[in-house]
Amino acid sequence: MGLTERLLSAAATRPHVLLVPVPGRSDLRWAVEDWLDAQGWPQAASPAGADLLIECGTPAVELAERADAAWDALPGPRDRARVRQPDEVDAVLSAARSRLLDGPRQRQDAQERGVPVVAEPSGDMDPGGMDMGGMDDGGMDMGGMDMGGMDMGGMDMDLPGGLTMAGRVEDRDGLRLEGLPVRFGPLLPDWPAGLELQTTLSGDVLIDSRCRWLDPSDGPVPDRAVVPGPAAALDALSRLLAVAGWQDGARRARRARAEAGSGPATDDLLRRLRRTRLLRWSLRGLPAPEGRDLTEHLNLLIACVDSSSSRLPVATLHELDQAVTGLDVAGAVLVVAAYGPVLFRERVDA
Amino acid sequence: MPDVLLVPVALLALAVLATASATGDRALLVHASGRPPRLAAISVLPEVARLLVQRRRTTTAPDALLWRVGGGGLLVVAALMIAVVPIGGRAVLDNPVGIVWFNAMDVLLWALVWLLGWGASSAAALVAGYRYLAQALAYELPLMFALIPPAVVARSLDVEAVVASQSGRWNVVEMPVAFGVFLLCVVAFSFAGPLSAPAGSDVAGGVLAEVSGVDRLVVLAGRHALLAAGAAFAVPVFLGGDAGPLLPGWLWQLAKTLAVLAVLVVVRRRLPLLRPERFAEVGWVLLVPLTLAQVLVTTVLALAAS
Repeated sequence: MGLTERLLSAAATRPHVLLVPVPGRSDLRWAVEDWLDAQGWPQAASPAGADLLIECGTPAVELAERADAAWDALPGPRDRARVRQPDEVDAVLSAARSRLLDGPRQRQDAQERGVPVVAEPSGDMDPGGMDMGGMDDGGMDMGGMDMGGMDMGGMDMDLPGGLTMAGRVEDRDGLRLEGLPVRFGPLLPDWPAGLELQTTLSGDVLIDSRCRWLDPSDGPVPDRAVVPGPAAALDALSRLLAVAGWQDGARRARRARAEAGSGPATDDLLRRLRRTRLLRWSLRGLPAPEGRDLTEHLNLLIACVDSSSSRLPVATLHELDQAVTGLDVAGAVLVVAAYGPVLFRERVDA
Repeated sequence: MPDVLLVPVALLALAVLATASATGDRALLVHASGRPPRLAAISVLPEVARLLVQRRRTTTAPDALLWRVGGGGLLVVAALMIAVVPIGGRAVLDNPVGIVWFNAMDVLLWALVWLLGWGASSAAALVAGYRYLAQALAYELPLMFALIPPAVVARSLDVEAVVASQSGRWNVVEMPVAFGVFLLCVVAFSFAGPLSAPAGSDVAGGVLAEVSGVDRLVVLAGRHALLAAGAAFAVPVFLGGDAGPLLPGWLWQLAKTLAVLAVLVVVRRRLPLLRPERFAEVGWVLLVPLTLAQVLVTTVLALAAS
């Protein structure tokens, strides 16, 4: 139909991209992010808002499962691609975009997905069954933030979708409120690659937390891009600023990262960072690696970019667990954004 | 009796202003990325086309009716808000308590955005719904107090009476604090910019985490429409309505509305995100006393003048 084709071609001018960063391949993630910035393609915050799923490297078993679940959750028109080398970014992403324009291909993809798959609602933590129940408008709730099965000791009541009631836990005020097990998964935007945070949410507050690496390997994963220096600090800065909601600053930090920490973009970024008081005020009161406050951590990152005398801090998963427990979701995600890049470094150095 | 002939005019004005808000947002984004702001780059038509051609989706066991009511209700509330704004001297709803009507409509948003988050049957959307309520508790009282001074000066809650009372001097000159707080609260109830935590990317998009296709278009359009309706309401209440020399009244009103909208769009882009916890501090510790002081000053001056 002419109208659909025209809408598709208009839609594909700026596809929204969901990135799957692979641990150890930050160089690919950086190349893809720089390309997306140059083209003006936005990054999606969840599969529902994405058109393309781009894997920055070859994910291992568990991460590949999460990527597949996100792929199922993309509404469509959709496409999927994997970047293996930094110099094939342009070719891969342009090809993915042109497949988005392919009307018959997208229509066939949509028809193939319309077949309902009914799975047994299992009693464990994970509503893994693709219970589409005959609705053929698309995906399941399997975004980066997984609503892990509401099954903390609740009775098996006859609720819709085979779900069970949320259990009860004591929250920080001593009240017995709902406790919802939730997984903050590896595909949230600007999230440390391959990290999963399992937690119990009581309202908005994390009652407890357990972090783990997906696909734990026997030894540290050498990260091809993370050479200690200004570029690593700028990467950490860009992720912290993006999660703190200053997208403009995050973009400038990425541009500074592309010029390896010396050049006009870096000077511009540092000037703005030193001037901003609203950002520092909003970051105050949250814990950061090595016992600092998050504002001090921001200053440390700026110092790392500026001179080579400062070094990035080091942190462990256990410290992250303790830092995050008791915070609300917004604070917790900020803290993870601060710890993430230095957790990685610890994995490389240890 | 609602003025039926004005309904299409009001809706068209709302649509134009909402589009202007979205286009302005894109223009700032393109400018910030260093690319030239050509028309093709800043147009919102590709986004609209993308959302129209995208498939809708659902989750396991959502409360479908309440979910979609929450999403579609944003546009309805924006239309109801603009119904009390006088266009060419007359408003769609000739309401003797227009200011209270506006306030009641923005309180409706508490329920609608909460339902948008709760009905989605998703942890991300639920947390975002909680965040909106936390923010709403912080901005609602300052908003109510900021709307009192214009009514005190006009000795009436009717928007047209407030416009008439500004024939000597615009309200923004007499009560700048109330104007500033009102603009901040418009940004807050349309969960935009620094107060967009309910749609934040740290919770996978919040209330936007599970919506796609037409549903997503309706929610995004609703946000822009709320911002536009707030800007349109600020003009008769604080900026003298369609008063102005030389040019016809409706042109002045349009120019003022676009100016307020431009300020809101720039604020939305420039400021970083405020966590709801932080904004609650600001709302209660700073804004409530400030607006109460403004009410006091305005009332004392009005009593002294009479």
